[in-house]
Amino acid sequence: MELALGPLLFNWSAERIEHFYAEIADESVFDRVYLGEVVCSKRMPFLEPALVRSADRLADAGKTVVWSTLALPATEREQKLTRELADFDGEIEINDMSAVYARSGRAFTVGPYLNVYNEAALAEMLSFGCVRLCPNIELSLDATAHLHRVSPTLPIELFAFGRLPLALSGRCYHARAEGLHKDACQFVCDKDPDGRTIATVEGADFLAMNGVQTMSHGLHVAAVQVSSLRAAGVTALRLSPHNVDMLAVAAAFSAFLSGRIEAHELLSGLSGIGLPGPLINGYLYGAPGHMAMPA
Amino acid sequence: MISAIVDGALGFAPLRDIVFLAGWPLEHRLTQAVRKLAERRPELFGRLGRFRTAVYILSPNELPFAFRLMPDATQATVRIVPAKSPGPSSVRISGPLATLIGLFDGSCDADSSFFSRAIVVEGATDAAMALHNTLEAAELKPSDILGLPSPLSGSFDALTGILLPRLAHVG
Amino acid sequence: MSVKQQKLELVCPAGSAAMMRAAVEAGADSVYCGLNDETNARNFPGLNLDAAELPDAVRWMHNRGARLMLAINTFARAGGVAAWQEAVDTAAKAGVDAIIAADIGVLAYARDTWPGLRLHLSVQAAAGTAQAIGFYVQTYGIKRVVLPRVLSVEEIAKLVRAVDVEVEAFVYGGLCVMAEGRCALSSYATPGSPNLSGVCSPPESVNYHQTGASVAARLGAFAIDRFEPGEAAGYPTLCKGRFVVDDKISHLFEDPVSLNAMDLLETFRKIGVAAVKIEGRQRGKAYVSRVADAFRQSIDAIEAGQSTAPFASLLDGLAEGQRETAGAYRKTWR
Repeated sequence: MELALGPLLFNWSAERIEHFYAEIADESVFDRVYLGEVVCSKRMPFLEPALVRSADRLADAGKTVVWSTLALPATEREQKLTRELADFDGEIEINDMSAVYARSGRAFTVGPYLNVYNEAALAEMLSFGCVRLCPNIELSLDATAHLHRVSPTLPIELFAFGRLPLALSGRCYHARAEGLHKDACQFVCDKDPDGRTIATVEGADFLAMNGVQTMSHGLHVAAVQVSSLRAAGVTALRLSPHNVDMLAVAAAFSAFLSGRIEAHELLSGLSGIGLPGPLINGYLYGAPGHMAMPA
Repeated sequence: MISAIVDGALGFAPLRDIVFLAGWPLEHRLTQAVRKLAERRPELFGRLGRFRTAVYILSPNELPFAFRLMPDATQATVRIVPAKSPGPSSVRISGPLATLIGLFDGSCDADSSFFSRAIVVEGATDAAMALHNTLEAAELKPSDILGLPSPLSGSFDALTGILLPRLAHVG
Repeated sequence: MSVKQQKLELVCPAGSAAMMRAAVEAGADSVYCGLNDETNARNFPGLNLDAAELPDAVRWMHNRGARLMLAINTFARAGGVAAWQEAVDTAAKAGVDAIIAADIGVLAYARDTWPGLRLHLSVQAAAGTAQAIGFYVQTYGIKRVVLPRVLSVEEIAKLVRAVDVEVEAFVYGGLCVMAEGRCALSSYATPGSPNLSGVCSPPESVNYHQTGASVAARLGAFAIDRFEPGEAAGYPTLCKGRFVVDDKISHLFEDPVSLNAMDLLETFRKIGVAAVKIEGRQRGKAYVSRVADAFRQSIDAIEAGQSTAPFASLLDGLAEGQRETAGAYRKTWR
């Protein structure tokens, strides 16, 4: 089973990003690395040169590089960027229907932001050129298994580590929390390399904000028996970058997939590396996403 | 308009007259009314789904008693219970009498009443919502319940014939 | 494409046949409703139409010269697609004027099975760009798109010019602050998924707890809001609650307001919007009567070259949290 590093969802500095991907290129066990800004197009101009250099370095190190589209392109500039990416000759991951149209039949990965919840929708996507599926985070492992039974040869990459991308808005919550307008946001989301925790009025940590995106407070971990993952057609696990030692996270998953450690050892190992929230997995079992079911 | 009727009725009939009504004959009458309705309009109770066996306490602010309803079609029961100790229930819905009545016959917007905190829902919100949605769809008139001739004369008749049966189908 | 100005079509919600009739009697041109199952995005207990009621409802509407649309706008469950296909069959056989759908699997089935059936793209598809809308027009032959509520008026004007399909915009009622159909907040906290089961912040997960004088509204395990005495309380819809960030309590996502774009009706007509939509299938006859009446009079006033100002007060007291906003239609919202 492959390991994939999902697109970075947080607003890290260009230097930080380049350093991060250099490490991933040189030292990590990842097979695939997704690059590109998914959350907010305003971050792009600062990051693009660093991402392009990172792509070269990752490719030189033998990693498969995939470019991800924005999840909610709205402005003309965002639509233009999405169209340009859809025209790209290399591998891309699509996170908005507008790019499916612009891709006009060439191969792409269906990202977790697309609403492919059932076999009928998947059949449509396959007809448009889908060659790989990262299921929507709401899908249970049973639902994914059903999609696999209907399309047994389709590679399936499961969102397996990280805060869950739960919602997107036209409004920026980082800007709103700082009393700023989205159009003059001062890029305040760069203060929170893992997103900023949102608590309830009773003091329980609940969600996390990341600019226009709302995420889970907990970190979703697919510490499911490898045999169950295989039975559901999972061919790769996607780890979402966080402000922790991602090399260690990748190594732990690698050990888990190869059978060197058990699910509970993976979980206890991850708990010790300073994650921003508790470990959760409810969605995989068809339960509310915040829940942590026994491994 | 319903509010006007209720206000008028209350104007003629002091609280003690309503209290006087509390007791088994009224319970029996209301219970029979709901069961007859179930025979005539079974689809309404189908709409309630699993909430047919939910227990509803409907508690008008102005009254010392409340109505305890289990709307299980031809097995339905309506009891009159003390407002302060109505016994176990799925949900309690309290508010001004006129608002409660308007709420359940659809002449009054439930969400607005709730947003303004005119009514208070305690317990299973889904049960309250199911009952409200069902009555919204039902288009019941007083005569649907008791088959009373209309228009009714006299304040006492107006009260028993319009007000209480409406609460009965709340009920 | 050139913009064709036309009289705005008033599209109103119905959670029952009774509410549908109330909407038309108050001036709705069209009514949308759902079936009482997980195929529609307002899957609340006691709400919606039974499949058996639909033919009569269609007949009643057509006799009144009104149109009935059926919302089949959740995403079909893996392995359970047949239920959504049956809903499409039910709609087509009953002769509804359109179905409103979001799932590409459902749209494909409707296109292939019922070629004459008019397809509207639900707001749940969150198609807010010319490219996304173009995709649905080209692939599924949709005749109308219901726009996401995250666009500004300026963006809508550009969009209407750029697409070759009717545009329908929400003008009143509950406001989603997240991109619709792309929001998993409710399913994170509760068993209710808007996309999969058609419920957001489901009532069976709602609990109110009186603590002293204040009332806490909880959704599943999480307190979504707390109300002090005399404060207007809201149903604890997750994105309308109060939360704590950096020790500050606020309506982080959205204030408990509802959308009211009556002031923008004339603009919508001018930029070529074909239909305006009222939210609130769950809100009942009294609500739809008042809102349909207010918007009917406003639309007629615009056609007569008059102001809509006299009709604003007809909506007093209906709003969630008793307050209204023009939402994302005005860019300052962001």
